Amino acid sequence: MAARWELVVAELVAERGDALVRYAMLLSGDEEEARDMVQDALAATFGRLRNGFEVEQAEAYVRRAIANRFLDRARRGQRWRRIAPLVGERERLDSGSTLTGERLDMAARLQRLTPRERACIVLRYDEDRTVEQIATELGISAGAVKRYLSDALRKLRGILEREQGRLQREERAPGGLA
Amino acid sequence: MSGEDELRRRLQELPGPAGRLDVDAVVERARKRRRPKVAAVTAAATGAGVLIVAPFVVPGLSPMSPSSTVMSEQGAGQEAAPEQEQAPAAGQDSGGDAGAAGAAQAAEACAIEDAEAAIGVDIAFEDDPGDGTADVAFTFLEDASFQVDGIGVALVERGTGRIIEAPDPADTAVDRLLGSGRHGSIEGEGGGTDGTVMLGVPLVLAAPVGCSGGSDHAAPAPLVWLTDASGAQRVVVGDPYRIG
Repeated sequence: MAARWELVVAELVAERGDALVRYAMLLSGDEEEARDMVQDALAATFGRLRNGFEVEQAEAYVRRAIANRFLDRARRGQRWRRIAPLVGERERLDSGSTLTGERLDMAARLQRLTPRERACIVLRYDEDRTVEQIATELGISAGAVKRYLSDALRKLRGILEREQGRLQREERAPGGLA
Repeated sequence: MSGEDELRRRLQELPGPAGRLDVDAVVERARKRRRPKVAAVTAAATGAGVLIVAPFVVPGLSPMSPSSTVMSEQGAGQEAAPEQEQAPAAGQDSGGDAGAAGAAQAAEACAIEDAEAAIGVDIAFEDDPGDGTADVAFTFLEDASFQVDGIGVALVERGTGRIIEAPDPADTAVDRLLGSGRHGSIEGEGGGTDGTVMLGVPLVLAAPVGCSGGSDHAAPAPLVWLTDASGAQRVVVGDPYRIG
């Protein structure tokens, strides 16, 4: 018979697995990397947790482990810095419909933020967390979270303005898009 | 970006993953991380059991010589039988000793703790260890302090953490480094943001011992011999190296 913690793993993966991988995908920008990160985080969390945890509590631990892994990998990550621009570029080239292109462009824009900025943006605007909750999850002060959010929003606005400016120049140019 | 609502909308429109998580692999890896504690308790209990039982079954171990007491209680007629049975048993023992020694050697070589579960430190190669040297990153998920005696390579299956091959602890290269502290001491605060990278570490080259069957997903992982804050010597394995 499966141990209690194994049932919690199965339930957590069945109910929240996709959400956890999506969270990790927004952070890392790559689905395979995200899945590895979530599997690592689950194994590490349940390798340590004793029995008596419910799915909600376990998910909080796993999410924190995902964030830690992401920030850690990003800090160490020569490899990550090498492939991130390539992933973003390839996705942009592959984008088909307008909606798909917009979604992929958004993912690419996220990758241009620093890891902590990205984590704060994803937690605040995708996961709808409060500043205090983000601070707890990432183990930093609320003031630092506000600063990261402010910097990230400023960068995203700048990126968008540059993209729009480039698009307008292309439209005005002879033989342009218009 | 016209505003925060627009950003929220765009983020939440991003599609989710296409694939699914492998629950069985997660459970298997988590079991493996929990196992060392169970194994330690089992080993301790077995050791205690042997100490308690030994005086009653091995004549030479007890100063009170319980064997003679038992035999005298059973009578002289029955004394010969255990002795006759003892000869083939001894033969079997000598044959079994070689096998047991080999198994014990493999068990010792393969009894390696996962670094993250054992000491709360994520250990990874930062570059390909194939040339005999590598940069090794230590990231502190929990507060830890230890002395690094040596770093070698184990072959580990990606995804499950199964150890396929490990350096032989009986190899003199391993024996020499135990307790040496040749790479100095490392300490850090937990939380996953504090870490140390050791650059250009010459890796310990020792004869390998097979631990389990091969795998298509095997990769080299850092194997670290360390002395922890209590002075205990331990061997831990980090994450398999990812190429590319």
